[in-house]
Amino acid sequence: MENKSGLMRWLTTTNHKDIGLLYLVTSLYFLMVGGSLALTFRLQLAFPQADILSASAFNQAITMHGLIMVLWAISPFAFAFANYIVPIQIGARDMAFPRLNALSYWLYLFSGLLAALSFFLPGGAPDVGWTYYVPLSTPKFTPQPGVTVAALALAMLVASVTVGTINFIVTIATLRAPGMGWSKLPMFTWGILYTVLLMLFAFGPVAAGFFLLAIDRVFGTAFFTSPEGGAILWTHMFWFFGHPEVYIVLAPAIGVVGDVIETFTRKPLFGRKYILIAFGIASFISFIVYVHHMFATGINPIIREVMSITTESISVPFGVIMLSFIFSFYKARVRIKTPLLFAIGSIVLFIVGGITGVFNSSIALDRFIRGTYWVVAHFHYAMVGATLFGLLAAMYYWYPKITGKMYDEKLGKIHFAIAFIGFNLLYFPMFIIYEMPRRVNTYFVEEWIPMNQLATLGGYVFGFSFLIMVYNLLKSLKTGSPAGNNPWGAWTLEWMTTSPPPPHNFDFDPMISGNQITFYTNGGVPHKHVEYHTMMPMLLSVSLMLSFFGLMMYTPLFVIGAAMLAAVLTKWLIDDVYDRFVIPEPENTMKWPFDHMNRLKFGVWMLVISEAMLFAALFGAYSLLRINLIGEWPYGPAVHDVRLGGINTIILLTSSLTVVLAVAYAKMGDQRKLLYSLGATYILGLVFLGLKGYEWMKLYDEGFTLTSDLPSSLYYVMTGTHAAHMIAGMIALTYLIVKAFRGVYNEKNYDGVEAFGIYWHFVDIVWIFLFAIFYLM
Amino acid sequence: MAKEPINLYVGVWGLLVGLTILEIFMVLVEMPIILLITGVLLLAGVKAGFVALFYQHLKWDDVAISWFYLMALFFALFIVMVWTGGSAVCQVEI
Amino acid sequence: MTHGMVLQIPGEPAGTWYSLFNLYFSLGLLVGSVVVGMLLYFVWKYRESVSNESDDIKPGVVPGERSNIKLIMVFFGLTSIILFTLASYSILVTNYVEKVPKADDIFEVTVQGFQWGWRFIYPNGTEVVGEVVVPKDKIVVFRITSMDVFHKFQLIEFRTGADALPGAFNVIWIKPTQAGTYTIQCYELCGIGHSLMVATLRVV
Ligand code: HEM
Ligand SMILES: [Cu+2]
Ligand SMILES: [Cu+2]
Repeated sequence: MENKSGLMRWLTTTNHKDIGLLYLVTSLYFLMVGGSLALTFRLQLAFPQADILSASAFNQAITMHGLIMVLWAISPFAFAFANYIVPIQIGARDMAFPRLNALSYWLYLFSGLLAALSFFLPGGAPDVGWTYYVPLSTPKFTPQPGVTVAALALAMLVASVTVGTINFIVTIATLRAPGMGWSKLPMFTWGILYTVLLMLFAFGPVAAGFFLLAIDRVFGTAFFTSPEGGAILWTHMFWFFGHPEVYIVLAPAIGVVGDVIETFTRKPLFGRKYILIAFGIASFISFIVYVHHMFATGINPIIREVMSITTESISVPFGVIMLSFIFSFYKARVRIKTPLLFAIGSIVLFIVGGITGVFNSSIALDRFIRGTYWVVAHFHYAMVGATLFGLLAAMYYWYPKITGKMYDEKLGKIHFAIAFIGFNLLYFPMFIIYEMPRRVNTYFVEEWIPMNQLATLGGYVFGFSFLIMVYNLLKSLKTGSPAGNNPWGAWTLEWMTTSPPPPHNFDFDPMISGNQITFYTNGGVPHKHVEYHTMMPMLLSVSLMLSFFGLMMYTPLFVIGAAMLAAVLTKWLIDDVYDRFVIPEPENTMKWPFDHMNRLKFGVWMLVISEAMLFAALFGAYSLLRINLIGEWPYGPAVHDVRLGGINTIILLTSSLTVVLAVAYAKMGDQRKLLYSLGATYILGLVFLGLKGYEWMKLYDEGFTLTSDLPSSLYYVMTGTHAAHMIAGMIALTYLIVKAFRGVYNEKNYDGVEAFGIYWHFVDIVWIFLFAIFYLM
Repeated sequence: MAKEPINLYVGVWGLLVGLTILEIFMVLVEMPIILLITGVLLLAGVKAGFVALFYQHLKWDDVAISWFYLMALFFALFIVMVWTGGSAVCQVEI
Repeated sequence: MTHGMVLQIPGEPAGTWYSLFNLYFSLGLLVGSVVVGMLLYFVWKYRESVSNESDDIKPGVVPGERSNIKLIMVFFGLTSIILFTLASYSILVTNYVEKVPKADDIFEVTVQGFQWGWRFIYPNGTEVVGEVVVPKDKIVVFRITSMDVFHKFQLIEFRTGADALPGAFNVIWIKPTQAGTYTIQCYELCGIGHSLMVATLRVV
């Protein structure tokens, strides 16, 4: 475990601060790409008759702008700070799973590159809008491979997000320094916690949606081309994710603004507890409002009316949060520095974005507003105004911590002024011409031209303001005055270590007694730092990207990618079998209410929850299709062999029994019985898969194939997804058996078996429902 | 759990197998489809509940994890209800 | 073409739409200005150079709670009341917009969106692409569907619209009171011809 330097350090690092910096640079890069696209199509809109961009190029530009900004720029920008700051704020040495943290980053980077690659494919990048509405994005209307490649890139990004989500939840929940109860967590950490909780439940369904779309595009099924599924199914699958996603984008910024206000008003945040409660309520409600993106589809009026009301009511908690932020300035000592200016900007722009959002929540108004520039203006005030300004506050706030140097305050203020003016010049005119349709590359209404030109001008001003920031931050790296540990006089833990912090964050572990932050003196011997390096996360991501790209474009590349993937996974598992990467779990940390959770078990539980959401969306698709096809859907027992399915169910249930027995024997320290139970599980799993394969073959012979009709497509997709989960489980099981042979598991150490069991039983539960809905009814 | 409740695990297994056989039996006796669907889904829910409670150790583990699970269950039910309820495009009444 | 906030109402439901919009707009403007004004005022009034307040943030000390449950309840109450007002009026207008008014004599046109244009089918079976002629002072109903992808049928000046979905029908109504020519346009991205997917509504 030697220390690495130069390029190797960055390719192999698992340190959360290094990874934070990687996220920072990468997200700023994607921000620049997305921004350049926007500046290009703004030119087209300023001169609608000039043909600067063809209709096709324009549609590609807006689609990639939206995808890149929402998924590869702004959220990862927040996670740059999350990675760097959160572990320090809670007094941890690193994330719970440093290696998976690196994996998150590399999956993110290469998924972004894969998406960007689609520009260079025949037919170009996707041109269907970031919302990927079907049937437009099905192959009949957009046969170009770019649409599929970007969808696969999205799948890769979902993997990155899921891994990151699990990591942050486990970290924040179980690695808090002794004494750091929930009520003492800084606002930024809370913001990230809400973000990842939203991610945990939101990303499964959209993964399912893009999965079905990819199957439609690659194998020719008809989930999204048939009128029974089609547009409505897609809008449900997309927006169930889409709405929480906008809060996922926003929540970190709210956290930053909270911390910045506290530091620069020199007063505790007003109504902190209520802000957090309101934040929690809003996060929950954000899952039950999404139909407000579908008001004009004309689906069931009761559902639309209910979601209209939930949408209106989500403004109440946000009102409480914003008013509390504002009252934090009341009777305070306001120190007007650049981070605070950006935080104030964020609040002001959020108020505009939030109020205009309320207009959209009225069905009567939205029947017209949907699809207009009003919506564009609204969500840019929320996403760019509230969120990006909040994150820029973070940039200036933590810059001295990350670099050890102070930025130039005057340039910072100038940046704020120009950015704020440019922003409003850019987006406010869109409210004035709110009746203009969005996503058009040309228009013939003369009156719209001046406002569009003003907006374009604003766009360039706004873009220019970033050059000031980049200049300021780069220059200050060299010439900035030393920042010291705590230039702002803030109270949170990241300010109680050096700037930049040492690799292990604190020489002596922090703790909180009462309200005082202190440090374990440990007899004066500082904490010894161990560096962990591995290239596997990077290689794994590269091989995944290669195989996805090859799948669409060039089969040999797919073979190479897949072979690499297998090799990397094997190496990763072998490293683990030989305990080459063991990070001891810290003791005494605050874990309530997860006192019985160890790192691994908790992580697997969170994985199970996100998988549950993925299957929830598949079950949702099943029920939607089944209702729409009522009368045509075949009676289960008429197609499937109930007895064979029943036997298979019992086999799987039995394998659950053997797993739970394995856990019990591990706990009892009975190595022999442990091995027998694991072996029995393995055999039962194989038998299940074998019978399943036999059933599939028989059905194929009977003409019941993947593409024959919707019920059959869904049967293969859902049972196939289940089988894939079983195969993943069998791979993990192989690893467990090898470890059990080496006698690793005993009364003290049975985490691996227990965690595997949780996953295996979940797969079992999924099957219980699949059996019911396909075989029995 | 000082002593491992192995008998309990085996008992739960017996119950799960029994319920599965009951499900198949319900299909074989050819009852009205509505009854069959409700019955089968209910039984599947009970089976899943037993697996979660005893095999996934929710009964003994931190309650907070059960809350996560319940939340996912809530969203799953929400999805199924909204997606089916919203599936048919309803026309404005004329 | 009506533009911006200039009212030039060609008929229903535009009139009602504007009354709802204006309510949202005035309340929104009022609330927004008060709140932003308050924020800026506090920032200015309590700026460090003039503030007499103490500095309560100490490095390494978790700050205590600063709140006032009464004030929080006021925040909660005020926002709830405002949103309740808006929501109630919105529900009334929504019911009005989504339900075709009773009338003896309804003029019904079927609308088919396709890449990239609009086809109108009159009650007598005549099909026309690109222009639809409807009578003044009568309820006109559009039954909207799509022949290929997702479109949105929008009657810009009438402030109403609905998605055009393949395999489904959506219904909207208008009651024109001003003769003239109005614009119909697609408001959902539907491919490279989307910007040009325009048609004319002629009220005679
Ligand atoms: C109280 C606050 C908010 C309310 C009531 C609200 C309401 C709405 C509604 C009803 C729509 C659908 C409009 C339509 O397509 O016809 C919408 C669209 C949107 N909102 Fe908000 N919103 C709020 C805050 C936010 C925030 C904080 C963000 C992001 C950080 C955001 C981002 C978006 C986006 C991205 C869209 C459009 C997506 C698309 O069609 O491409 N909103 N909002
Ligand atoms: Cu939304
Ligand atoms: Cu269109």
